[in-house]
Amino acid sequence: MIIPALEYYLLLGAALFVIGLLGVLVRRNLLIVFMSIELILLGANVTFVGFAVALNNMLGQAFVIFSLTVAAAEAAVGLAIIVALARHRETLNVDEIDTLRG
Amino acid sequence: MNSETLLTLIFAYLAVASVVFAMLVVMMRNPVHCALALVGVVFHLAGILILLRAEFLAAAHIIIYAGAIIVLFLFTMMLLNVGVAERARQFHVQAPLAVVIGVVLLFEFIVLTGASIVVGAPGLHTPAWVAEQGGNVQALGQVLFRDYLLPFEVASVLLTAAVVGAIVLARQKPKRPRSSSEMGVSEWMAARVEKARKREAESAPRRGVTRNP
Amino acid sequence: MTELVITILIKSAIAFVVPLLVVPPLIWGERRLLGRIQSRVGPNRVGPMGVLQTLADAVKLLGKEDIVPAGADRSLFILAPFLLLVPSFMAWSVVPIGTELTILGRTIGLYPTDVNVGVLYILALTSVAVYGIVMAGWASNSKYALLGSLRSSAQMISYEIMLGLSLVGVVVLAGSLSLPEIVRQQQVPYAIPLFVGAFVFVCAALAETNRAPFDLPEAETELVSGYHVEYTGWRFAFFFLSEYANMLLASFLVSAVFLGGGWPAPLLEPMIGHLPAMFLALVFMVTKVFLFLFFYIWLRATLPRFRYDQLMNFCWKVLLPLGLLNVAIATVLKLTIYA
Repeated sequence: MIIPALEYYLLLGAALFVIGLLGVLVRRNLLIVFMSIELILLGANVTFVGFAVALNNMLGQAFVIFSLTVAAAEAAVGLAIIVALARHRETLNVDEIDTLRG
Repeated sequence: MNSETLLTLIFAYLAVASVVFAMLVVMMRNPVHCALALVGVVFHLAGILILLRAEFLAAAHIIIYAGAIIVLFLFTMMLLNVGVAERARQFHVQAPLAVVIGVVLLFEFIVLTGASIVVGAPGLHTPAWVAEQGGNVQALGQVLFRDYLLPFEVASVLLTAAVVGAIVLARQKPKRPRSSSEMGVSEWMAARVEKARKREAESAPRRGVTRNP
Repeated sequence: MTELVITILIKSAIAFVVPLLVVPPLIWGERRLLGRIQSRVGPNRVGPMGVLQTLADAVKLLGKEDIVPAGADRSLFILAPFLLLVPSFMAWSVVPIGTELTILGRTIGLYPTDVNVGVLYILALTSVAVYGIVMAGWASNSKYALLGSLRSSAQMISYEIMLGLSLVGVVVLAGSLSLPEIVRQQQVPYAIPLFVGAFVFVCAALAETNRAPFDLPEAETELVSGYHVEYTGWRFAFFFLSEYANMLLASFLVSAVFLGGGWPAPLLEPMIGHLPAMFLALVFMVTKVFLFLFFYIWLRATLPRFRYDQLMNFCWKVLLPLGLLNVAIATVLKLTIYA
C-alpha cells in the first residue's frame, strides 16, 4: 500500500538525480559539484525506498543504509581531498584544476 | 477530506519543495547558501520517507546528511575561506548543452516510469510481516542483522578506511618552522623556553659562567 | 477524528508552553542559587525575592537596538537564532512527561506523541541545532564570531556522537527506540546497570547545551564570547532562551531515560492508569527533573571552565572509550540478566 502511486516517488527520485547531474556538469565550484553528487545519491535513495515499499521487500531499505555509508565515506575523503587541493592550489575552480601533476 | 487526498497533498508539497531546494543548490552563487538549501532538500526527503513508512531511514537521513555531511561541507568552507568569488562566472561554457542533456534524460525517465516496465516480484516483507516484527525499525534490524550481516560489517570497514584516509589526506605536514600565531599557548611557551635556553647556552662560555649540569 | 485533533492540539500547546513557562523561573532560580553558593545575595529587587528579574531582563533586551552588523549576510543572520530555537522546541514533541492516564473512559498518554524512532528524532534535532551556531558565526562577518562558532559547532558535533553512544546502551536494553516504551521497560532505572552510559550522557548533555564546565561561548574575557557575540536585543534573547530550553530538555531526557522517568514501578504497577498513580508519577518525574537541574547549576558554580583542547581531548580520549564500554556492558547485560 503506497500513497500516492509508486510512479510519483520514482519521478521525484529521477528529478533529483537529473538536477544533481546538471549540477555536476554545470557548476565550476568544486564544493558545489560535491553537493550535487549528494543530490544524486538522495534521488537514488528515494527510488530505493519507493521500490522497497511498493514491492514489500525490506532489502531496498537495508540498501539505503549502505548508500548512506558510502555517502558519508565519500564526503569525508572527498572533503579531505578538497582541503589538500585548496592548500596546494588556492582555488576550488574545477576549470583551473586541470594538471595531472602536482 | 479523506486521508488519501491529505497524504497526496502532503506528498505534493514535500516533492515540490525538495525539487525547488535541489534547484537552489545547483543555482545559487554562495556555497554556504547552497549547503543550507541542501539541508532543506534532506528535510523534505525525510518527510517523504516518513510518508513511505520508513521512519528509521528518515531519521538516519537527517542525522547523517544534515548532522554530519553538510556540516562537514560548511566546516570546510569556513576553514578554507577560499574567496567566495560570487561575482565570478559560476557556470561552465557547456551549460546549455548540459541542460539539454538533462531535459532529455528526465524525459526518458518519465517515459520509462509511465511505461511501467519496472515491475518486480513482490517480496516477503508485507506490512503485516513488518507489524509482526514490531514496526519499521525492528523489521529493518531483522533484515539487516540476520540476512545482510556480512555486508553490514564490510560497510563498517569501509567507514574506518574512509576515516583513516581522510586524516592522512588532510593532515598538514609542517614544512617550515611555524610562526607564533599558529601555535597553541603551551607550544609557544615551550618554544620560548627552548629559545632562551639556546641563547643562554651560546652566551654562557663568553660570560664565563659555569653552570650546574 | 475531531477528538484526535483536539487531543493533538492540546498536547502541542502544552509541549510548546511548558518550556516557555519554566524557563524564566529557572533562570531566576539559577541566579539565586549561584548567589547562595558564592556567598552573595543574587537578584532580589524586582518582585518578591526578585522573581520578576527575568521578566525585567527580557523587557530590557526587547528595548535594545536591533543591530545587523555591516557586511553581514542579512538573511542568514536573521535566520540563525530561529535555526537554534526551533529544534529545541520541536524536540519536546516526544518527551515523555508521565504515564498513561485513564479518564472518562479514554486512555491518554502524558507524552505529546509516541514515535517509534523517538530517540533518533531527538538526536536528529540536536544535530540540526548545529546549523544555528554555524550560521550565526558565519553570517556575523566577524572573526570572533566565526572562530567561536567553529569552536562551538566542533564541540557539539563531537559530543553528539557520545550522546548517541550512551543512548545505544539504553536502546539495547529496552529493545525499542520509543521514549515512552523505554520508560515503561525500566523496572530498575537504567542509571544503575548502565552507570557508565549515564555518566557519558550527562557529560555529553552538558556539552551539547553549552553549559558549564563546557561553556566556551560564555567566556567573554578570554575568548571574546562565542558565536553570538554580534547579536543584540531579542535575537540574543533567543539564543539565551534556546540554551535554557535545551537544558530543561536534557533534564527531562536524563530523568526519563536513565532515572526511570514518571513510572513509579514496580510499587504502583496495579494502579497504573488511575489518577493517583498518574499524579504520583508526575511528582516523581518533576522531582527528578528539578534534582538534575539543581545538579546542573551546582556544577556551574563549582567547576572551572575547560580549555578548548582539554574539551576535545576529554571527548575523544575519555568519553569515546567509556561510550564503547557502555555498549559492551549493555550487550552483556542483555544476554545475561535482561535476557
